[in-house]
Amino acid sequence: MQNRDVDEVLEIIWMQNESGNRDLCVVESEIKTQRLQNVLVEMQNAGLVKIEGANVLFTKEGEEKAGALIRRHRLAERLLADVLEAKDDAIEASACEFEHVISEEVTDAICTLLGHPKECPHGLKIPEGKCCKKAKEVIDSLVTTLDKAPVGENVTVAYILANNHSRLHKLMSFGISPGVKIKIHQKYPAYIIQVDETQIALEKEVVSGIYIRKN
Amino acid sequence: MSECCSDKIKIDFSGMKKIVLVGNPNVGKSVVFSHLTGVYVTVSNYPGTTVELTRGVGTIDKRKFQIIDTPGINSLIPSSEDEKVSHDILLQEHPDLIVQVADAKNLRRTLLLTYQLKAMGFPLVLVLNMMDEADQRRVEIDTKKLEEILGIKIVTATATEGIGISEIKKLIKNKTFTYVKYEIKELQDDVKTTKDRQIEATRVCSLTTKTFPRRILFLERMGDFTMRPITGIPILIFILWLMYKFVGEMAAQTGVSFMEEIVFGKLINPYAIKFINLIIPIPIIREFLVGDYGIITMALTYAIAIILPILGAFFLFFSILEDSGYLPRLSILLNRAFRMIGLSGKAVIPMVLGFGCDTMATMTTRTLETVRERIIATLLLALAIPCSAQLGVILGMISTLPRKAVLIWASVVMLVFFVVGYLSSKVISGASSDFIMEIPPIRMPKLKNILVKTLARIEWYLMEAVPLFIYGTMALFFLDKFNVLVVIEKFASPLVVNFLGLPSKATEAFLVGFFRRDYGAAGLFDLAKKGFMNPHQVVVSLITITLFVPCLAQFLVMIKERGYKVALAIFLFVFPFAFLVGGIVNFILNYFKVVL
Repeated sequence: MQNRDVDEVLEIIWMQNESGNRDLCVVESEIKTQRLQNVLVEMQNAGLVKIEGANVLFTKEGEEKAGALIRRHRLAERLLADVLEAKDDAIEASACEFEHVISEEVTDAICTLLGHPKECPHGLKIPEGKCCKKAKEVIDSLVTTLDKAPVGENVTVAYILANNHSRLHKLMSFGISPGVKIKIHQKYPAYIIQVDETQIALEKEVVSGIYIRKN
Repeated sequence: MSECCSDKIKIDFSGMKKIVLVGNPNVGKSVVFSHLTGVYVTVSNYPGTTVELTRGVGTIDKRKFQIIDTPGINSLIPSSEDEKVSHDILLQEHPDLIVQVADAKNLRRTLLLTYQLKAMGFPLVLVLNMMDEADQRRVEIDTKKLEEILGIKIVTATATEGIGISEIKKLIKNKTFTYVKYEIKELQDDVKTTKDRQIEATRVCSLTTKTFPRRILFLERMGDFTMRPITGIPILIFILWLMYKFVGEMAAQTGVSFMEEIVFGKLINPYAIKFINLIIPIPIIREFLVGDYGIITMALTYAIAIILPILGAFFLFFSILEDSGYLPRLSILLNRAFRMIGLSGKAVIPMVLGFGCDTMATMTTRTLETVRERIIATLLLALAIPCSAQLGVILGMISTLPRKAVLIWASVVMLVFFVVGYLSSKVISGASSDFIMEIPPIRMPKLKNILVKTLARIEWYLMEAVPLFIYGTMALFFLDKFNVLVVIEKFASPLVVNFLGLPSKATEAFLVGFFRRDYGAAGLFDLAKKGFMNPHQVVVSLITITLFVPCLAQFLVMIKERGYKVALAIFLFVFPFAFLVGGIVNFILNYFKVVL
């Protein structure tokens, strides 16, 4: 069983699944050569796919393998199209080569470089990698303004907008500076924040100039 | 209110080492000062109690030191006038030692100031005060380690209990013996240096303090209730009601009746009249002392019998409020309303202090950051905030009237406060400042401090206000004797009688009101008591006297703080405006035939 052949068949099944086809006949008709037909049987034995009635289904292992493959392929397309500005046919040919050779780390690096794209140039979904999930968490916990922090939660000051020098100075002299842990105590009628054992009353205008990270 | 009379007592400080107490606001500098010098300065629980320097002499082992108490500062780069006072003294006076007083539970903020003081080269020791509160909040500080890192001597203290004072004394004594001359360096305040100080303070703080998990204290919970509108507003109403009961009903009715009718009416005045008639043969001097406009029968009766009981009760109540830490919390509830009149919640404290004494409150407007805010606050204090003495007399008069009368008086004064505030915020140009304010913890007021403070204020009243009563009475006496009073009353009649609808004798009250508004109010009180005014007239006269010109002392402070021009402009606005509002209310009450 040739690896490239397996990849080929996995891809075909994934793409058929994507468009809602699980029918064995349809999948078989897409698998053009007899050699690949045999591969499908071998894959069944290897536990990558299973046939239930008239349908071809991925096993867990098969789905992961196929997903990673599609991800590599479509990220390669994106890279070629967006960064290298290659022509359409060149893209397809190269992507088909790329998908077999690049490692997971390189894939994640490309994904990060491209800003975790959601779709390939043809508008098909790119399966998420580990890097995308991590990025999502980071975005959630990324810097927001203090007025958006929930009451009672400990947050860390990231930075204070420095367009108003005297305000910055005053906040700093109360001990509010980057890296300091603070807590919103109350939001109405004025904001009250707690820094160490000091409570300070502030207005929204001031509070929305303080950027924080959730812990 | 800070009735410090330090600048009036001239002490020769020559040859004494100069010790300056410096620190963040509301950390107990004034308590330490009182312990070191034996001089009482007002101690309260809100930032900005001290707005001026107080100097005193502290004797340690028979050696005399000049001790200076300063307004609290968060940074040596001042952002308001009271902070500037502290900043300037450090530069100008070249202190022999700086004692930084600090809130032990807020070490990081303390260190920011410590580093600034060190950077400027001052000889420095650190007092970690309020150790009791740090303990309660389970904050532990390794002072030995902190001493090593900072390279300065440190003592811990709970000054309100007198703990640690002898150690502070020892420190001052030892430190000033080994004193070397030093030079003051300029403080760098660029962003990088400031940032480095912040980082260093945070690092040292984490090295030397440990905080343990703890439960929320009962007083902290109470503090939260006062700041949230749902619970805060009912609490505010309850406090006002309590004050009305205590000052307006108990003191102003029961207390005043007792003093006026029994103590003065049955005891002092009859005997004084008898005694003076016996020893003084000249009628005019007799009248001067015990006549209709006599110093004993009018000035002292008003000052001691009518005002003192009310004032004493008010001061007592107010001191409790001040020491509890309630006032800064009120700023949170009122911040939005104050924004509409060009001020911020920070101005709430000077305004509320105005109900104690407008003169002192005018000084406290220094804590506001922009000139515009200070002018608006000064104007509103002069116009629409009745001081305790006046308020007390007013409450005493009005509490005998139906509720409706109280409501009319209070709403008119409040309306004037907001309308004039709003308009002046439109007219007076300039910037307003951010509302950034420290909220001190709610504390259980200490009985001793309450009593000492109340007595200090009563003493201040007797020393400063009563002489003015006597001058006012003397003026009335002579005006009466030379028949000028009748002329003035006739002259003022279109205004007082026709426009305001008051008896012409009310003119006298307004005349003495120029000396002190409370004296004017006392005059009205007397008229009402003797049945010369109906409820309608009482309300109109009270509104007019409430808004009436600031007292002499307040006017002088206005000149000192805001300059001649602003002070005079305010005076010239307030005087006719008070009558105008009184006249309008009189007209409306007549027009709608309001029955009181």
